[in-house]
Amino acid sequence: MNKYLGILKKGIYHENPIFHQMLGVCSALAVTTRVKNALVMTIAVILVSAGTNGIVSLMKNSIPKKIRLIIEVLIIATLVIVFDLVLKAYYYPMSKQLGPYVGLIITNCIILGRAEAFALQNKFLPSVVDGVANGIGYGFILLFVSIIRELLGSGTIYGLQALPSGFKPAQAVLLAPGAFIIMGVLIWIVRAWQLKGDK
Amino acid sequence: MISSDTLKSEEKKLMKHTNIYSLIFSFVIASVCGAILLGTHKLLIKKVSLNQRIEKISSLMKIAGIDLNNINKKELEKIFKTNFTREKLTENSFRYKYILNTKIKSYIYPLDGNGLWGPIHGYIAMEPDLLIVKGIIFTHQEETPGLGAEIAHKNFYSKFIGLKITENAQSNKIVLHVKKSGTKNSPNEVDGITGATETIKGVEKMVNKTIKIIILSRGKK
Repeated sequence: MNKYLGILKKGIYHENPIFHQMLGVCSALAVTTRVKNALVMTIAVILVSAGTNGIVSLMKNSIPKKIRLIIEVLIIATLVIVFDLVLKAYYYPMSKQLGPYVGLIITNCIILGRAEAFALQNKFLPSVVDGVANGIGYGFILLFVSIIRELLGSGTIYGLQALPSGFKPAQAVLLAPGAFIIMGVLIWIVRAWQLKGDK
Repeated sequence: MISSDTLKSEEKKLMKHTNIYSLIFSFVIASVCGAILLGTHKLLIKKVSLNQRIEKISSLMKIAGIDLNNINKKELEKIFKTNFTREKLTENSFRYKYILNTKIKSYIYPLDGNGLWGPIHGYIAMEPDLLIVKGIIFTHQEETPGLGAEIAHKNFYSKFIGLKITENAQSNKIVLHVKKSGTKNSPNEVDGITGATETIKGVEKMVNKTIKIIILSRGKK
């Protein structure tokens, strides 16, 4: 049990994919204009990452080493397309809003990175936990950034009015440079804080 | 230093699987993945295309001036079936007629063109006089978010509403133009989007192509 807790903690905090491994930053910038978008994206990444890790770990002994990357990408692509189709069928407006970014999970380095670095060396269950942990770690940041951006950019949180109507939204926060700045400041604060804890 | 023994065992590990094995392995995995995708597609495609159809007819209805709040999907289909008719104009152009209580409320024409990165589409709804724009909507697939993609937002397309496409209902000279941001100089021109010049040029071309069709169809009320 403790082992799993350790994996979870690592993925979410100590080795957070965005803060420490600097993976998946592209989509983190793109989908964080609304909390709702970030939430759906997080669910997608958790499912795909856990699924890929699980499958890859199951066939870690039979997968030919020379072509393992192609096989891994194939598995990721399959899972992502399935998720995309389900989204299109049951939550069409959201699928419209996320646009190409669901499909781009295929190239999200978090998933391939974890399959390579963890699932190929570990058993099924720890691998799934690691996938979930990294998905949550990624989602955590997404939620945080999207709350800041939606609040300052639209004056709402999760679509609900959060600031008085007199507030004038700052559109700059919704554009890509705004996301870079917020993400940068966030990484700076968290790293400084974690360093302090280490000393 | 790595001893030659460990190097050899590493090499062995790498060679554990023969090429034939790799080939068969990838073939099996690809088939399984393909089957899964095919199955999911078959299972969900009906629902997906229904969603796409609902989206299409609701945007048609919205620009024709119908308030879509509190209307569910079934009613949407019903209103569309009873009040909208598709009318062929020439070999490759058509329009929708929106009729309410035997009175023509609007004519709607499709828009098709190219943006910066990919195709752009939309619909333009005209008042029954075929002179004034009643509503317009744009969709795109891959325009730059924050720049070209802004054409799909209300801030941009609402600028078209109420504009004249020609000076009067008899004139053939197009006066509605989409201009590069900051160069608008007549009341029937639309101010573009800063940083999205190419997309805006595409919109201008697309809208003008359809306006020509509208002018030609004026006789066919």
